[in-house]
Amino acid sequence: MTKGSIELCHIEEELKRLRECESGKHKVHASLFNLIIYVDQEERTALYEKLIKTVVSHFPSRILLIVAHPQGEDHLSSQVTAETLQGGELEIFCEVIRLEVGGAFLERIPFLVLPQLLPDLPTHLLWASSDLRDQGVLIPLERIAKRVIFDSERISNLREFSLSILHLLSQFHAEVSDLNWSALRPWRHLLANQFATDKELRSLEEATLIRLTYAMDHQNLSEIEAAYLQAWLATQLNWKFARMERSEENIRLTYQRTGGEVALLLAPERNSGLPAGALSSIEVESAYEKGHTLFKRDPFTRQVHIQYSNALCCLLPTYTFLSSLKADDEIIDEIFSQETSATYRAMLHTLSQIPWK
Amino acid sequence: MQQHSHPTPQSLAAYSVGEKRVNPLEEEGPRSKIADPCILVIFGATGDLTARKLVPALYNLAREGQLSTHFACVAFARRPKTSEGFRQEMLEAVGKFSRVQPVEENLWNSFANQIHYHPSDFDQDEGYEKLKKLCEDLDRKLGTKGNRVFYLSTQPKYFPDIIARLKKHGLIYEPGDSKERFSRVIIEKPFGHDYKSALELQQFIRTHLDESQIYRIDHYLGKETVQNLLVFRFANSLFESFWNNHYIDHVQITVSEEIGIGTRGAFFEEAGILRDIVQNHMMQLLSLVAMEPPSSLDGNSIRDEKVKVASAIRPIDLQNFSKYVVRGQYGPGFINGEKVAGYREEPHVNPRSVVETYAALELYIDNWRWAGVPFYLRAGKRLPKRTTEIAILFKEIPQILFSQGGKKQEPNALVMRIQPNEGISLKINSKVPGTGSPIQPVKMDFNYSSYFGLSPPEAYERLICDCMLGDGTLFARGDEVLTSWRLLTPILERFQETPPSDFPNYASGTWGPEAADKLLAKEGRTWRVL
Repeated sequence: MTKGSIELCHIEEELKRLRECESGKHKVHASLFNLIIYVDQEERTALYEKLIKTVVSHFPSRILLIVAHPQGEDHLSSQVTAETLQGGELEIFCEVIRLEVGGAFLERIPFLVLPQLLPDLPTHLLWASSDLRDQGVLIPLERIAKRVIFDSERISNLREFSLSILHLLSQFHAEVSDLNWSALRPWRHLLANQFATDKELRSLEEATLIRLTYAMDHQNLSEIEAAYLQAWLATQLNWKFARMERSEENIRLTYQRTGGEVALLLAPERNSGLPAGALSSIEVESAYEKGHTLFKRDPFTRQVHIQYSNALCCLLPTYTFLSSLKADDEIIDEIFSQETSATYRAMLHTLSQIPWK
Repeated sequence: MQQHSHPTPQSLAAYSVGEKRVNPLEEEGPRSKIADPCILVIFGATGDLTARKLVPALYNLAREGQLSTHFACVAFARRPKTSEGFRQEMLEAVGKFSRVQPVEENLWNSFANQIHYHPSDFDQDEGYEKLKKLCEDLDRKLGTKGNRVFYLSTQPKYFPDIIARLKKHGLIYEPGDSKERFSRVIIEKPFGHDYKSALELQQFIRTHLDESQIYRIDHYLGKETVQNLLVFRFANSLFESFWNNHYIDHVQITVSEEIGIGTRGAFFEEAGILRDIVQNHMMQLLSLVAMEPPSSLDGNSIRDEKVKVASAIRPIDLQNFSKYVVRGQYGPGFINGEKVAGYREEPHVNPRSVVETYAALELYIDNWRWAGVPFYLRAGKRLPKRTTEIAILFKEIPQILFSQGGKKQEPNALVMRIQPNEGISLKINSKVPGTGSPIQPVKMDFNYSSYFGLSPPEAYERLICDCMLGDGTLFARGDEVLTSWRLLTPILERFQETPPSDFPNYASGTWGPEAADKLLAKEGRTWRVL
C-alpha cells in the first residue's frame, strides 16, 4: 500500500512500481474484470474492504474503491495497494485503487474512474449506497458498466426504493443485480426444492399464514431480506396485495389468493445468533390438510431443520442445507450472473405496491 | 372435519406445460437447477469407483444444494454389510476423496441417512424384488416420485443380466411412462470390447431401454476443460476462420500417465490401452476438436456433429499398418527418481503378456475441413509425466522475411491443456529487444487456476446431476460408441493376429517406443516436448 495519498496522475506509475518491487515480482498479473465499488457511508467502508479481499481471493481483478463523503468538505485523494491471491502454484497480483472524494468533488468521479479502467475487460459497478438519485455519479458510471450491483442495507422506505430501482431498470443498459436478492438464493432454492410435488405446492398455494422471522438489528432496519422473500412468494404464487398492518411485534401483509386470504408476517427476532437481516425461520400454515411446515435455520451452520405436520400426521423432522453460503459469496455469484433476473424485477413490482413507511 | 373447496387447476398459480405442472418457485437459468427427486441405485457399490468418485460427488452435490432433498442412494452389492457399516465406510471415503475438506459433520449426518445398503447377487431375482420394495418404501418416505437412476459400476459382463432383471421386475419403466416417472441407466466404460460385442450389447440394451434412458458415462466429458473446448471454438469468432487445413499442419492429442496399471492388472490384461483410453477418452477429444459447429447446444445436435466427424475418419490402411499405428509396453525404469517395475512384473499380469500399454496412431479425417491434416494420437502408461493435452500445430510461414542463417522460425502452436495445469497457451514468435533482431518463440498463456481460483466441480458431480436432470449432452450416444469401435476394432484384430516380439519396447519414464517418433519423423515432424 502506498504510504500516503498519491496524485492521480501517478497511479499507474505507482502500480508499476508495486508490480516490479520485490513483493510484486514472480507474480502473475491477471485480471478478469474491473470492479468499481461506490460506498458513501463511513461505517460500511471496512465492510467493503473485507469484500475486496473476498473478490480477489476468487478472481484476479482491478478494484476501484470510491469512498464518497457527500456531506464532507471538498477533497480528493488516492492510494493504491496490491492484494495477492494464490492461483494454483502461482501468486496473482491484484490492484486496488482507492479514491476518497468529498463535497463538490463528487461530480468528478466519472472522470476519475475512466483512465483507471483496464481495457478489454468488463466493468462491474457495485453501488453500495441507499441513495439512488442521480447526482452525476450513478448514471455516468452505469454507462461504462456491464453490470450494476446494488447493495442497499439501510432502507427506510422499501416502496420508494423498489420504485427507484424499477425506474433505473427502465433506463439502464447495464444488467442489474442486488446483493440482498442474491443472499436469498439459498432460501429460494430450498423452498423450490421443498414445495416441489403437487401436494406440497398446493399446501403452499393454500397457505393462510406465512411467518418470516429475521435477525433484528438495534435500529430494526434490517427487514429487507424478509420483505424481498415475501414479495417473491406473493409474485410467484400470483397473490394480490390487499393491506399492510404494522405493530411492535411484526409487519403483517395480507394478500388475496385463490380461495381466500394469506397473511405474510415479517417478525424480527433478537439474539438469533445470525447477522442482522438474515432469515432465521419460515413457517407456513395451510388450509390444505391443515398443514404446518417449519424451516428453522441453525445459526452456526447452514443446516435447516424441517418439520411438517397436518391434521392427520406429524412427520419425523428432516434436515437440509442451504446451498453454499459463505459470507460475501453473493458478490461472486452476481458478478457472473447473466441477465437481470425477471423474477427479481417482478418481485420489485410487488414490493412497490406495498405502502412501506 | 372442515370441508375444503378444491380450487380448479385454472385458478392455481402454476401453469402447465403440456401435462406437466411447472413449479412456480423454480427460477430461470441453469444455476437454479436442482436434480430431480430420485433414487440412485449403484450396482457394484463396494468397488473403488463408488468410494473414490460417486459418493464424494453426491456429498458435494448435497453440499452445494444441488441434490434434491427427495433423494436416496441404494448401494447394491454382493458383500454382506449393513447400511450403517456402509455409511461409515463412505464417511471415510468422503474424508479422503472429497474435493472440499473437511467433511461437514451436520451435512454428512443428514446425507448419510439417505444412503442404504442392499446386499444381493446380481443374478438373484429375489434381490431385485427386495430392491423394488425398498425403493417403493423410500418413495413413500422421501417423496422420490418413483424416479430411478441405476448406475452400473460393475464389470461389463454383468450389464445384460442386471438390465434384464431390472426390466423384468418393473424397476425400469417404458419411456413415456403414464405415471410421469423416469428410469435411467448409467453405464460405465468400456461399452463392449470391440465392435461386435459393443453392437450386441447395444442391441440387447435397446430391447429393454430406449436410447433416451441410456447414459454412457465418459468422465472426460464432465471435465471443465473438455467442456471448454466447445466454448473456446464456438464462443470466439477468431478461431473458426483458421480451424482447417489451410492453416493447421497437424494435431497432436496426448494422454500420458506416469502411473502404471497398479492393481488393475486383471482388467488391463483384457483391455489394453486402446480399449482403456483411446476408444473412449481420446476419440471424444478428437471429435470435439474436429467437429463442425452444431446447430444448437442441445445434446443431440452436438452428438450428431461428433458422430459425423468420427464417421469421416479414414479407416486404418491395414496394408501399411505399421506406418500408421505403433504399440508399446513399458519395461522397468524410473519414475520421479524411483525405480519401477515393468508391466510384465505387475501383479495379475502374465509374465509373457503382449498387451499394449502404449499406442500411437496417425489418423486422417476425410472431409473438406481436415483433408490432408494428420491427427496424431498417443496414449501411454509409465510415461515421464501425467498430462492430457490437445496441441494444434500451425503451418510454417514462408521462410522469406525472418529466416536467420537458414534457421526456420518455429510454427505457431495452440495448446489446450486438459489436465493438469489446466489452461490454454498460444506460442507466437516475437522479436527479442536489441539491435540484433533475433526472434524468439514466446507463450501467451491462460491458466485456469490464475483466473478461476475456485475449486471446480468434479466431473462425476456434473455428470450424475445431469443424468438426474435428464440431460444427456455430456454422455456418449450409442452411435458415437459404435463409430469409434468400428474404427479401432481392425487395429485390435491386427494386434491380436500379430503378437509383438519386442515387448517391452520402452523403459518406464521415457516417452514411448522409438517407433512412435518415427511415426512423425517420416513426415518431418516431431512430438511436442511436454
